[in-house]
Amino acid sequence: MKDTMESIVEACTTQDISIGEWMLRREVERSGSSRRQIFGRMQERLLVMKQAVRDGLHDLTETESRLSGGDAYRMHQYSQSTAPLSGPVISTAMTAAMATSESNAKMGLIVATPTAGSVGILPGVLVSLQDNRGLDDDTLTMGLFAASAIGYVFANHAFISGAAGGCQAEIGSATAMAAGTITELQQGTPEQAAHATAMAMKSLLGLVCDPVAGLVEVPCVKRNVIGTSIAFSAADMALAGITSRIPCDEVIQTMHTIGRDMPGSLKETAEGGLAQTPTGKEAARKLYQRPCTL
Amino acid sequence: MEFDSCFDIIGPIMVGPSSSHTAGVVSIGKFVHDWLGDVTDVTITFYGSLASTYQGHGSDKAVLGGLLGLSAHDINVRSAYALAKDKGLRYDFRFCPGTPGGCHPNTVDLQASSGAESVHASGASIGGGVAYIYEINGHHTAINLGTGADILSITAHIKKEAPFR
Repeated sequence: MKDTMESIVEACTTQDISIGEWMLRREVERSGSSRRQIFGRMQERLLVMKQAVRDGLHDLTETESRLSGGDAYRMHQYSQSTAPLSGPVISTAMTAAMATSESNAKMGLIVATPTAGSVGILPGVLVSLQDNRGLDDDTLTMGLFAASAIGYVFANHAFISGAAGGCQAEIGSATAMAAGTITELQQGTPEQAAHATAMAMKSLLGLVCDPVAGLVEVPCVKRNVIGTSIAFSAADMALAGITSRIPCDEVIQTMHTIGRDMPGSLKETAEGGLAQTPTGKEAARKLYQRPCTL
Repeated sequence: MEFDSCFDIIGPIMVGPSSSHTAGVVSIGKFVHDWLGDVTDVTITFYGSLASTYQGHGSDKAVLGGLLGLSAHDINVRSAYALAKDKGLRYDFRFCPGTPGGCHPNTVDLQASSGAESVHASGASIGGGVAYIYEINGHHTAINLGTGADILSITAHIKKEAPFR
């Protein structure tokens, strides 16, 4: 039987372990590799994420399509020179998410979390928790195990790709994973983490995948940025003891149903949504008129 | 289950921007590289979505990088054109907006030679960095090039089997 959020929370509560610890033990069991090896492989991913943030922060160049680039630098300068309205925790996460998504658009080295289109959200929140709350790399690595447990439920009960389920499956899943992860890393219970996951996902249900010119840039980069603030909002609610009135597994099932019903024009084909605005169409026309870079 | 490992969710480590239009495409190119050794000449045909959006996704650099022996997590994929020039790889790109009957929209067809040997392989990048090779020298096949697959071992193994022996 496929694991659900309910079954995972129940297992964690019975054994008095975190969701991250549950996923780490599961991976040891299924792979036959040692705990140390698996932890090391996950930590390698964290280090690649942190490097992508550093690379993206000071890079003012635009992408080949000229649809994105340089905004992480702008956000960084702004948040260094003034007190951003959204406060240090969220503004740091926004900046790091933007840096990662811009690195991705420029063919930088990244970690798909769970996809390349939603690459910025988890690194954004993790880097912010490190910078603002002093969490060390080992703690953040355990956070990635928690994130992967949540993503594993989404992937097996719904979707994690825009082509299959719309943006709700990419940015939605990634934001929900981040919300649960933040909650766990801030000492919330597994049950609270599941509520945070549900509340984040509920706020992104129905989001369509409508990339301009079919590229992972507009609106993807900024949706990654804003996903971080939704994740923190959902985590804060869960940590305050607020619950999702619809259980997490039912929310995930709903995302699946909505994605199945969503028309193909809104699932990464660039045939609908923002891709079909006058400006979106003009950007596509210009891009594909340019000679290829042979 | 399609997704079983924590690294199916947190991963792969890859050069951006797209797991389906970049990472998986590198693997298809690398399959041909590992089949032939150093490739000297290649005709690359991109079909469907790859033909229409390859520039913004770097799919051209991805396939060349793979043909030069690079992996999806090798940052040098970005400089594949310069590397191809250095190594004397002659390439010709063709773009076909449709997809061959019954094939995946992200199909790549490679007709390649090392001088001593040649191979004609078709594959598709199906998402999440996973690619399939479905035809080699006119023979139908279904070789899964998953994330982190050891492509060199896979080609060595297949070349020992009928009908490629």
